[in-house]
Amino acid sequence: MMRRPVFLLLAVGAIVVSALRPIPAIGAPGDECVKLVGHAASGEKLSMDPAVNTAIEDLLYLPNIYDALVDLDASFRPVPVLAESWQQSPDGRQWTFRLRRGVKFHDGRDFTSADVVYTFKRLLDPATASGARATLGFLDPEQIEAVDSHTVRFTTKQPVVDFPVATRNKFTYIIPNGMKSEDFAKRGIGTGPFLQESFTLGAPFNILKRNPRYWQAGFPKAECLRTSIVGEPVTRAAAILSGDADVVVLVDMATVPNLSKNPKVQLLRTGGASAMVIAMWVDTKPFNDKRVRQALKLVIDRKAINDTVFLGMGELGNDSPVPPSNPVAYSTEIPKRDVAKAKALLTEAGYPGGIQVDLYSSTNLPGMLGIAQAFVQMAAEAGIRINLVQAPPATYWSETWLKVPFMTSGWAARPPAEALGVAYRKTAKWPETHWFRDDYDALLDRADGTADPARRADILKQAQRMLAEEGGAIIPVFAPVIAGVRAECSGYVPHPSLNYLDFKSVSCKR
Amino acid sequence: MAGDRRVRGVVRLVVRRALLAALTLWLVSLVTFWSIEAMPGDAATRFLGRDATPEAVARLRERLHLDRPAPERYGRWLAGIVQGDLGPSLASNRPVAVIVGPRLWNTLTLAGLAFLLHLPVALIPAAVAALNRDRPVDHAIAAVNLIAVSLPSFLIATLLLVGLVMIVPVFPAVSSVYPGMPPAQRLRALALPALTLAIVMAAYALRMLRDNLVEVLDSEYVRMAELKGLSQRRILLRHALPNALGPTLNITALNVAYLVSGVVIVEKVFAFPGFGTTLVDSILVSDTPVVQACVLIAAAVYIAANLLADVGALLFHPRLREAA
Repeated sequence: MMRRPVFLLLAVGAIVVSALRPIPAIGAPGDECVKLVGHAASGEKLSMDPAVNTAIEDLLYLPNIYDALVDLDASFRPVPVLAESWQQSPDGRQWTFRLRRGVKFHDGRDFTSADVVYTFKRLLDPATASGARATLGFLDPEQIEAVDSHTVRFTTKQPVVDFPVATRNKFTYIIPNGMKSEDFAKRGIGTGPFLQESFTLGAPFNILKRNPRYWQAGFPKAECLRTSIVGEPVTRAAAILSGDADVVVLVDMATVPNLSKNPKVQLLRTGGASAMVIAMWVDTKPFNDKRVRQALKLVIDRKAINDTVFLGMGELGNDSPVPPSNPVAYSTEIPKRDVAKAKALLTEAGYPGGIQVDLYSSTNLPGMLGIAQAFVQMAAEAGIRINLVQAPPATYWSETWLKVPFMTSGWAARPPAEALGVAYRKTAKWPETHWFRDDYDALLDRADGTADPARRADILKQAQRMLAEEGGAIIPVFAPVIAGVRAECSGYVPHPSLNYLDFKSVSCKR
Repeated sequence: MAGDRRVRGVVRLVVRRALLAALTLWLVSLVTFWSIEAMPGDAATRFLGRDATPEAVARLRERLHLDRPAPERYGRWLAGIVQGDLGPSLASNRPVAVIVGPRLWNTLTLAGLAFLLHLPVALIPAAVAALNRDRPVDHAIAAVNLIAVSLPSFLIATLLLVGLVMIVPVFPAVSSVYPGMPPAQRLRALALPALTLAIVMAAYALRMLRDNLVEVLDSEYVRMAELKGLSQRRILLRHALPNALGPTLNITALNVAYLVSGVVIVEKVFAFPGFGTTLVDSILVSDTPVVQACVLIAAAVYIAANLLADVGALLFHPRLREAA
């Protein structure tokens, strides 16, 4: 005779055991798709509007739905996409783009020059409130014109040499003429390799279908993509092994040793990507003395930082925002640590007893706080007493960064001229080192006006040397981007910037 | 009539407790609003972060009425809540109720399953330990229990992930559930987060349960039952367990309260689309209205659970009832 409590226990046990037995996946939506997993959710901020994207979760969608005029390769050189070719006028102030013919938007409309003109005018319109306005300041909305149905001309006040590169960022995907901000809430409409039948904010995942009319024959390779976000690094690693993910766009450093031994996973790694920076204000004591800045650059052991914080997978830096592996880098040499020389420089600068400073950091970027912690130890040996202040990550970018004279930050990989300008020009929106130098700006201006690539590179190298020797940025290492891909998938190539993910060549055997 | 007095007493008590709950909730709203207000910057700059342009900040400030004094904004917010309107998300303008509603439901199913699961996880070892008092089995269970109590839920979740996904792959790593998901799959997706929560809760309940059982097994009526020649199983299940369970109700109430906060961490680990993930995501993108509403909802659930536990306890303990 079976008594009730025993029966209950058995029943609960049976439920637990049946849950333990692996149940074959029977048609969860998008199981047949290539499953993309991102690392940070945009929450309610997620938008299919390229003009206002926040560059976290959004970038799993936008590069699939939309095309831009050009794409940027791993060295940030332009590759034709919706623009087939481009030309600069002899005076350097006019750029003419010939657009690809026969391209259709997902809703069947033909892609023409009107769409390009509309896209850029909208980005520059203050009412759109796009972050692009800060980077496209050289464009005049009145000077963007459709020459014919498939030709667009931009006229600028000053010559802009690298125009196709300068106009390509995470915001400048081409949208159909007349598409309003509120239209993006339903779904995004672009010319890209994948299309969105519907878009649900707050859904655990969204599905993108192959665009059968995509202009590039044979692409995309996958029938569909399924996107989701897994914030926890260990779970992301486990997701590749369990098959919940086919492509994890950012694998955390800490899980790399474990994954690298597993035959189910391929780890793909870019060269130096994000510049990790310790920034000091060159107009504020004690950093206003060049010798103090040089001493701080001398005490840092770049290799040790890379080995401990990035497990040796980063690229060593030499205080220029252009990674040494880039053809335009000023030097491939990495400064050696020299504590004695640093001490001598400090004494010379009038600080024989060393200095005492507050360094602000937080956990917003992988490795950022680790670099600060290692740096504190290294500097102590030269009598530089650094008090590390860990600020809350939620308000680090808005309230700490740019508001204190000594802090850590990081910059996503970007084209050399942009990397040299974004934080270091006198007019920069984010002047994190207060490096307001007319002679430096003059070099960048000259580079912008030099069409010959070799001469231009020379000028950019000069600017980098100046920044590295006298500037207020210590750039010990460039963090890599490491992607994890399941062994049966192929075609994915990680980009040094997470702003330029590309999934049209990915496919998985099932 | 005694029955009448009893009903009146309970009603009076419930009303009083409900008023106290409302007061507590109001205090929570005060703390929530003013602690976010005390953060550096304002809602607009925090939300826009590094991409903030002056125009965008100005527009957002206008939309959020940030030019108005804080007490006035608090008043508006509170007035909305009283009318059942938690306001719209800063980012998407969707009403918070629409955002949080389905997620809260997901969390409730998870919490419910975890609660059911924690009963056998606590009961079976407690019974085994009590029946084998001071033998090696008892000590071993106590040791494992102590370890489980000491481990943070985050670590338990990670250990389960490593064990049951990476080494022996029986469960999915990501617990995404979606509307219309077949029950078997849903159960499988919920298994790891539910198990994590169940282990944490069971760890608290187990020790008390074992001690109560030991006490009851020593009691005279159990000895009486033994003398009557009842089987040990029958004594345990029919006589000892029901009497040992009563005093653990307090722990159960504490465990329900733990669930409210515990799910936040556990959901995040397993990327479970629940209330906790919504809270964390909205904190990460500084979506202030959603954060405020989520904190208030969590507090409301917590207070409601305690209210129910109190009322339940009072109904079953006449002495306490008289005191109230």
